[in-house]
Amino acid sequence: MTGIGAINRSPSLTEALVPKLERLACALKNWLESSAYIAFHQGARQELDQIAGDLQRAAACLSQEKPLLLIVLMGGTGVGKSTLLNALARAPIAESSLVRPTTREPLVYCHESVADDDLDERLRQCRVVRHSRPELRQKIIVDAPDLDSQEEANRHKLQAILPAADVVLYVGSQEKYHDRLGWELLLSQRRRRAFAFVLNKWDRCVHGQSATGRRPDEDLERDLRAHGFDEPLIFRTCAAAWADARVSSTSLPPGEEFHRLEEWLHHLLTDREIAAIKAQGVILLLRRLSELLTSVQPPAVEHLLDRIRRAWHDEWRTQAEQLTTLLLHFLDSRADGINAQLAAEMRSHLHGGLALVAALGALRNKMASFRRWHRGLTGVLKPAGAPATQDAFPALLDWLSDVATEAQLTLRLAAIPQRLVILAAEAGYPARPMAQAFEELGQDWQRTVSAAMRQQMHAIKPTWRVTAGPRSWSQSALLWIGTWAPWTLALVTLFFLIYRTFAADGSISLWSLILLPGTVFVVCSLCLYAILMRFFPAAWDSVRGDVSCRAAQALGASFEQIFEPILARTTETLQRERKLVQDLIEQCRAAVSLAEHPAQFADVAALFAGPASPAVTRTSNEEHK
Amino acid sequence: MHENVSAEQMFEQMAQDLSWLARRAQAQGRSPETCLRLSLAAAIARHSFRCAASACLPPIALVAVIGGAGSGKSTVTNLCIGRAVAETNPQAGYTRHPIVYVSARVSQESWCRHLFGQRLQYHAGHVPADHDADIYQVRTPADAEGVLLQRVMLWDCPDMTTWQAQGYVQRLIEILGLADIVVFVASDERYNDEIPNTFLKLLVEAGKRLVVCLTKMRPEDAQHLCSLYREKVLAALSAQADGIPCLPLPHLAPEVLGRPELAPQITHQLHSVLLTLADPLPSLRGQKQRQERSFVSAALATAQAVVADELSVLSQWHQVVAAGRSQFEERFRREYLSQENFPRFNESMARLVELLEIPGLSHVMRILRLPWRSLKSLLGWARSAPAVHLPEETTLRPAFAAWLDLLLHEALRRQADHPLWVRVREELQGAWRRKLAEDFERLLSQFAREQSQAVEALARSIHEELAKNPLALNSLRGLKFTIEAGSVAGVVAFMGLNVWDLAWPFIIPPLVQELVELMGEQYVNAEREKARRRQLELLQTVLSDPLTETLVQWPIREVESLKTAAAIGARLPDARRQLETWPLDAAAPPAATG
Repeated sequence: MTGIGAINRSPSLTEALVPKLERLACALKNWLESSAYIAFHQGARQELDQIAGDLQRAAACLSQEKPLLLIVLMGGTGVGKSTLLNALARAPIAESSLVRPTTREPLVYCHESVADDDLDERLRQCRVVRHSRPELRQKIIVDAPDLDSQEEANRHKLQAILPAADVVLYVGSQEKYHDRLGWELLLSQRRRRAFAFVLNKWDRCVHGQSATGRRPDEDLERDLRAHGFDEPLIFRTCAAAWADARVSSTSLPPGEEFHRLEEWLHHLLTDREIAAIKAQGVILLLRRLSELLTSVQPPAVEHLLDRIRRAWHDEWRTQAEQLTTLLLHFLDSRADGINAQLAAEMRSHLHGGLALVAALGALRNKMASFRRWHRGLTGVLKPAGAPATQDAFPALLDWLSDVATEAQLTLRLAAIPQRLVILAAEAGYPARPMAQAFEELGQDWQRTVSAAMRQQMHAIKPTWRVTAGPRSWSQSALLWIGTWAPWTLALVTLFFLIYRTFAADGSISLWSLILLPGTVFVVCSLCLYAILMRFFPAAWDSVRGDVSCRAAQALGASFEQIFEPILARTTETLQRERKLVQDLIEQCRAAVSLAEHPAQFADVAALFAGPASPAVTRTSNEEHK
Repeated sequence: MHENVSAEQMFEQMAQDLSWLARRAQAQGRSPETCLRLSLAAAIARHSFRCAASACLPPIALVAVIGGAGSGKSTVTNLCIGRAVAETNPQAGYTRHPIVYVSARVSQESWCRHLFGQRLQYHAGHVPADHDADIYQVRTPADAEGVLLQRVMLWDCPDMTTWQAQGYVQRLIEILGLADIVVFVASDERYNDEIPNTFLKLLVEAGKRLVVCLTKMRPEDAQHLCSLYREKVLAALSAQADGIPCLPLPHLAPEVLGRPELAPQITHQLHSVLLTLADPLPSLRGQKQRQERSFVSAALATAQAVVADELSVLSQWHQVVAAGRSQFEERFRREYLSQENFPRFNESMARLVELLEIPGLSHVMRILRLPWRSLKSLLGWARSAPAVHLPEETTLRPAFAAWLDLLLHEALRRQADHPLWVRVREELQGAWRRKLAEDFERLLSQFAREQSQAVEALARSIHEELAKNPLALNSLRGLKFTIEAGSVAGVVAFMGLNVWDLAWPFIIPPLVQELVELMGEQYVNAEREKARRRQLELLQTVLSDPLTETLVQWPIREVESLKTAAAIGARLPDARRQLETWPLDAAAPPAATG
């Protein structure tokens, strides 16, 4: 203990550390409350919540003038925890008997100067026995319930107290020093707080010693070394003898060390050691926190974004094409309605004989579509909600595409987010936040898609007239010829007949005079109409390309508009959370380096476990599972 | 003999299943009691039942000395024998394998070396008790040929409470499976510990005869501790626990520990208790086996619950697969079937109309209908509906891809819940997906084949049924002709013959024909609807049923733990029934006299 003087606990340490811890605890709590990402790590979340509370308590404790050291007696039933406390208190304050389990409620043994408010909140409900011994002024000793009896409630009580403990005094007996339940608890806590060991009932350990087997204290020490305690502090005691207060040194077995335990408790745990233990406890807490935070920190995703975006673009282009194919197929089966619209538009450009023929054609089409509609041949989907007047071409397309979306496309659209999540996951993006973002999107986006498509459909002006290029000239020419040629030919025929009648002195009936030019007019119109239709058909096919192009464009654009922000939004959330967690880790690191700086803890090092030797790491990992 | 072999196999299988489930129960986070119950039931099935079935039970009683670490098992063993034969020392968990103490005569018997099969092998020669291996040692105390070892074999077992015990507690359980009598050693410190008392509770349930030795208390506390023990521990166990003998063995001086012959009264007491219990052996065994049977039977019920838990993830998987399936079929219905017109049916329609003509008169009728047909075609009435045909592959391939995507998506979302989802994710991103795609293509071509056959058959049946039935066909033809000819004749008869009447044959028969066509079309449309339903059925039987089956069965075939669990789940009810009807009396050893 010569090194104590070298440690100078400067007041600036606590002054600097306490606010840091408080800030960290506050930031941690805020993050836990606001974070959406932590929901994916429920197991870690509970522990983080607990650590946040522990940090605040540690900060409060460090800010006290004279910090209190909480020593918890932990061990199986009947090993003599209560007896040990009685021996330490030199009075029968704790019940100890043959009944197992003996202690059912924790018993707190502390100095009279300690007010109820100074106690940890978890201890305030317990029975408190106060003393006036100055050497134990800053130390609170708690006799905890057992950890291995049939009473499971006792184990929970112990586990509720443990997080508050600064030092755990692990009490074992010859029978129980190696029991699994205690050992597992020790292993799970060994990197979290200080441990000292008591091997009670020492008389039984040396009793009946034979040539085979190790002595319990050697056995215990060996295993503790393997699990990271390089110089474990083990006290061999016969507490029952000391509690009896009828001790004569002759009746004690050799190597009994109750006095050493008392000495350690009374004099070797001075202010400096207490501060060092507290600081080391804070460091362990911070290390655990930083480990947990690292495990729940969202991964960096920035470098994946380009790849995902490319994959998504490809995906929705393919999807848009497939959907357009489906839509066009649907429209194909209802081409006659569209054709009728186109023909009506075409008729407005026709004059004379062509107009007459076109009117006949329209009548024919109407008849045909009426009959087919009437007989239900157009398919299963009856046009129940068809627009009453099918005058407006876009309205018709609207209606058709809405029907198609409702009936056919919804299933395909619903499958797209799944595909996008899979693509992102394949690129290495965390799947669950992404899936959740798509879930939050709901179903409304499907309506947005059909609205976008409707808008594009409105832009389609079905026009039969070709607007530019040589085709437009030839169409104009044909139209001109079509308008005037039948008249001209009919007139020519009429004049020829009149000429024949009068000049050539032929006789001709009045009927012939009307019928023949009329026939010429009709035949000529029919021929020209046929030629016109051959080169400039008024059919669904002529707008099909336009519709297909626009539908694909509308779908692609709306996919991009809807889905692109999701990637950005999710990434932004992840980055924000990542940065927050990174900040917390940095704060942890800063606090650790601050706490580590002045105290080298040489004198309390024996109480803390280092890393376990590689041979046992495997076994202890298995045990943790 | 054959029956015996099959019973042996059944018990071996049952034991394997129960041991496997005991490990799974631990992984599921079930209580230590449940896990131990399953392990113990496995050991009983493996050793006690199997030996009884093959009539190779040891002819003397097995006494197992068990207890928590350091409670004094070896000391009790020494006291039973009356000599210091077992190593006693204060290191907790020193004994690592069971050691049996037998008389010199028994040690010569061959059955003594094959008691536990492969699970726990006989080890010839002397090794220290802390030798850590799946063996048992047979020791023959040199000068202790007392009456006890003539009647029983005494097993000094390892502990079950230390952290190392997880590695060797199975050896202890194997012994307990075969043991007839258990000496349960509890110290003043340990008597209410959870782990040893779980053993105690299950052993009572399993029908083992128990003797409790309370050790290490001060002599003046002996009676108090005994009554405390009865009140606190035994009373809480069961009604049978009341009769359990309870022997206090107060703290012994070191010299007595080293030389048990100095405490003959304790040895005598132990002897009398053990011999009373062990005698007569047949009735002890008979009672024990009946209780063991109900214990194992109850354990099998627990095992069923463990299996159900183990397979609970499968029901989630089935739901996901079913969701994918309904989406797959719905897509086919909406995208393909609702649009499909089956152009083949138009041909059938034409054939049907043709059939109804009277063969010799068809040319005449065609001429008569020509003007009407021309008018119709001019008016556009004769135009048939456009034959729009989207190949079913256009729908089915992406629909199947979407099915797999749904599975993969769910797997990605749930992969933290169960290893199955991780496996699904890995496989669906790799080889399995390719294999499924191949399966799908194979089934798809089969579907396309069967589908066209089905459509063809339906379309053909429209006219062929009529063609095969000459009576109906000819009467329909006659009816039609009679109406046509009769109405013309009637008109002529009523109105008298004049030039304009020549028009009637061009008007009435086409109208009749039109009526016939209308009725035919209604009929064909009804058949179309039937064809759609048939297609959906075909899709289900040819495509979705086999695919669903493949997907649903996949985890059971490919994921080892689920495969085993499913197999065990299938075996359990049968095993339980067999166990309950297993004839105990026949199984009792015929010559059980020591």
